[in-house]
Amino acid sequence: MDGDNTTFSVKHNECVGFESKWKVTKVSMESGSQTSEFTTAEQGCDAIEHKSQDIQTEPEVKKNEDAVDMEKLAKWLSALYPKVKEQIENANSSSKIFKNYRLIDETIDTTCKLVQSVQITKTNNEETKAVPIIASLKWNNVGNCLAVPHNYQHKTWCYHTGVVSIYSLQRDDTLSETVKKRLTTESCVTTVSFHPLHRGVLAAGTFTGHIYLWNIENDLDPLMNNIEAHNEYITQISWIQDVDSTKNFMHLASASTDGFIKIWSFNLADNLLQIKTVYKIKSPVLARINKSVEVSKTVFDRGDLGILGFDFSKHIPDIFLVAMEGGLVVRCSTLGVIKIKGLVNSVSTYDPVFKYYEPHKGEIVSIQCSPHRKDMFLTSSTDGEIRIYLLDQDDPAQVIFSKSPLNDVSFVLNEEKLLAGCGTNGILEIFHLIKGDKIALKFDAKITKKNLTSLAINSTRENLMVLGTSNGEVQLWNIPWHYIEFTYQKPVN
Amino acid sequence: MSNEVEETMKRIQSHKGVVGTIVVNSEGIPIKTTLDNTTTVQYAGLISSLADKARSVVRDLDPSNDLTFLRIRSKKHEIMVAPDKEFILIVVQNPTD
Repeated sequence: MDGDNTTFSVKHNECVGFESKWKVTKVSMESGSQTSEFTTAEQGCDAIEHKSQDIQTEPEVKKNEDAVDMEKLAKWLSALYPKVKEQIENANSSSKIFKNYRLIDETIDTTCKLVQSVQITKTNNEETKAVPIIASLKWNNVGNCLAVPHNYQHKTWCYHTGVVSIYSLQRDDTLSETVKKRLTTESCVTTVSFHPLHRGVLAAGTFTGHIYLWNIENDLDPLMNNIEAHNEYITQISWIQDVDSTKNFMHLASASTDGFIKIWSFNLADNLLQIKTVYKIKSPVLARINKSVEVSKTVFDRGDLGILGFDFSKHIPDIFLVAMEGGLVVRCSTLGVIKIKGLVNSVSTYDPVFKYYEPHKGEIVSIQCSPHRKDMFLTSSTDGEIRIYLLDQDDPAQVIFSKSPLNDVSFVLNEEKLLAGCGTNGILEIFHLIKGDKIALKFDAKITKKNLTSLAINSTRENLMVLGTSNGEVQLWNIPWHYIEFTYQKPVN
Repeated sequence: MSNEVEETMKRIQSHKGVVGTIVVNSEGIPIKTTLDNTTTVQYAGLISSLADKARSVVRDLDPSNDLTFLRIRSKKHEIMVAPDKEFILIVVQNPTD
């Protein structure tokens, strides 16, 4: 309890005063602050000015043509065209510029290849037993059509229907298997010839002396004309150029065993065939025959010799060469002829003989002017001789002997030193004109030999040639003439 | 006149074996052609310079002489060139043999 007493003490309340300050003088002081003057600035900017401009567009003009004087070009081109045409045609047909040109790495293959064999089919009217013989083979001027007349052995008169089969050469250089056209005549056709300018016009001579003219491009009625031209069978028919070479006239010439050569003028517009000139080799011609040749009694009795073949020179249109029975070779000219009196004929007959050459000892089977040299021609005879004559020389310039008789011999286009022949040997034979011997050939297959009657070299594809057999077969061959001639000169190992 | 040019070109073209025909001016620029663009330009350029060269060869050999026609035979084609002062005609053809 003591302790608690200390906690309690007397409270002394003393007054404590304090100065009242509720009312004091308020001291205030003014203070200002200077602010910077407010300024404003205006600035204007221009909008982009647009200008509209129109452009006139023009149609596009080819600048090249504008710069060229078309009139001048047209004139130049038309003036140039004939030359270019000539060059193109030259390159396609008769250009010989590159004929001996060979590339160094070119392989030289001299094999003669048999491309195709086509058997002539007989018509229903034809005898079934008789064997058709290919009488002649002719390509047309552009080389795409082959005319194949066939006939039969005749003992006396001809009772057969003559047939010329037309084959076309296809793009792959083979013949059509089937006949493109079959042209019929009243008797066997012995010779045919295509027009040198109109590829569809074909002339044929028959056993009974008739001449037929067809246009094979006319499918409905190909026959253009048919006339009785000779008394005996026609041995050859050919288209010949008019003597005036500036005119592009072609005449038809026919020869027969009746001893006459007739020239016919032909008009394509009206298909008319009119006799123009008649030639006859004047008697006595019998005295000219080689003594060793046996002439049949009928010929002797008649006193005239029949014409077996002829050929007009391509270089000198007035000269033609005639092969007569008894192996006679005669040079004739259409200029300076002598009129023969005493013959009963509607048309005057002329003797065209200019000179005689040394006669053959057998009957002549081929006579042909050289396509390369204007003064050269060949004859081939059953005596096994191929003779090369020069126009102004009576004796032959070259004689090539063949072991077996040849039925057809021809110059080779573009290879002036080669001659092609075919005959009883049964296979193609090639002879070298200068060296006068037979060239050994390589053949691609085993060939069965058949008697060959006729040959024809294609005029545009020179390597192609056809051979006709005596049993109605046509063989298409590919012959590398260039290489054969080339390797013969320089044998290649 | 352009028609006449086309006509002549067609006539040349219609010949057997002709592949193409080109007319080129003196600068070697093709004016007319029957071939496609690329071939034309190539032929035009090359052949015109060859023709110029050939012409100068002929003239150098004999100043009084001039080139009239140029033929180039190759394995596949034959090119025929007819050069003139203002134009050159080029004919390309396949030889038939």
